[in-house]
Amino acid sequence: MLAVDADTGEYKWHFQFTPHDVWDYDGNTTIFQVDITWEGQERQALVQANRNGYFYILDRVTGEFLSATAYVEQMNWATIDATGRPVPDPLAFPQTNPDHRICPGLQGGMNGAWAGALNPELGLAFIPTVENCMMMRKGISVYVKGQAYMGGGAMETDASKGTDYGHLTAIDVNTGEVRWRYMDPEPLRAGVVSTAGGVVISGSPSGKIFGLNAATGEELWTFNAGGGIRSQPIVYQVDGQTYLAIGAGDRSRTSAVPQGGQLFVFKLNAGQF
Amino acid sequence: MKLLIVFSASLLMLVACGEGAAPVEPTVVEAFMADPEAVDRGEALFVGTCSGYCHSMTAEDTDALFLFDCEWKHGGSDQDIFNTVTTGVPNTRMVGFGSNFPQGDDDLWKIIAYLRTNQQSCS
Repeated sequence: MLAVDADTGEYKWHFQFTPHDVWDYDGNTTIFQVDITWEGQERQALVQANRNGYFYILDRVTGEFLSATAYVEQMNWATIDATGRPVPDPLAFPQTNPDHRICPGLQGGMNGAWAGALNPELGLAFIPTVENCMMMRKGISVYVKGQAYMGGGAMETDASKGTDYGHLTAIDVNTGEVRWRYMDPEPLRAGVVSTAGGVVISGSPSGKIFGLNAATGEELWTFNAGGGIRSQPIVYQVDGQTYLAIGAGDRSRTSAVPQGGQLFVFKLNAGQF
Repeated sequence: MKLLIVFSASLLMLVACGEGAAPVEPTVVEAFMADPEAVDRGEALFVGTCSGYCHSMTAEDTDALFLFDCEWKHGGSDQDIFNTVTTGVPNTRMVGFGSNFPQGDDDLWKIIAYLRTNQQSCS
């Protein structure tokens, strides 16, 4: 995380989530700016469900580390010390002949390819989460200009057995605590939209579009799109009418779900969203 | 006369069985396939260089070909594979690795030996 003066480009502060990152835990997931109460003091904070499986709260003015809490259910690659620096488990490093599941896996607990959402009134961040631990192998990398320089890779471990899963998780941005989880049999890989009316909307790889009560996680509405959801839902208004648009058609491990490519648009009833 | 024919046939069989014939040299890939350390290095190179973003260890529907089956889009002989890796495939993600392997051409032959050793049944 790098903070620079927007007017001058001058360096302000930085924070490194995963030093010596051999797990592909890029810190490129959604960053939310929130004003919180931390240990009785008002703080201008930023929060992020980092790909490494921890939900971080930082002071966005100074870069001070405030807390990190696991938002995934399966976490074993590292603990976080009082300064915010990870203390990796020696077993969690990639091996030549791996036999140890590393959690989160290569895709992270959340992946930057899709966006979470925030409800500032409730103080909740909504994180589409992947529970897909993997064994990781190390190898010998050959440098060629323009070619990815990897040095190893992950092995499909849980996914190959169908034991990977997902959840949309609501996290209190003031504490980092998990408020509720909406479980799904597959890792969630779609964006999330949060409405001012207190509804959270996203979709699953099996093609289920769902709307939840933002405060409780209660399921309010579902729709079978017939194709996996890996898009970013949006809510917008035209002539005072509110609509929801969401694309469907991604692959799923469920072979019965076809690839589609449809854009679904729903008219939302006033007062409900 | 019959004895002479039997003697001649025995001589031919001896020749056919290799006695007195020049031994067939294994190819460089065959030699590495018989060397576990060479296969291990080929595997490490494949894992660290080929399978990270591109060629999966399991059959998947991607643009990077699965290299453990029996289908070779750009030629399946050892030399074909060597040439494809060395020069690359135009208009694909497959760049040419040229002579960039740390231990020279032997490294590429060891990768091919690793692939051959783990190739699926072609029957």
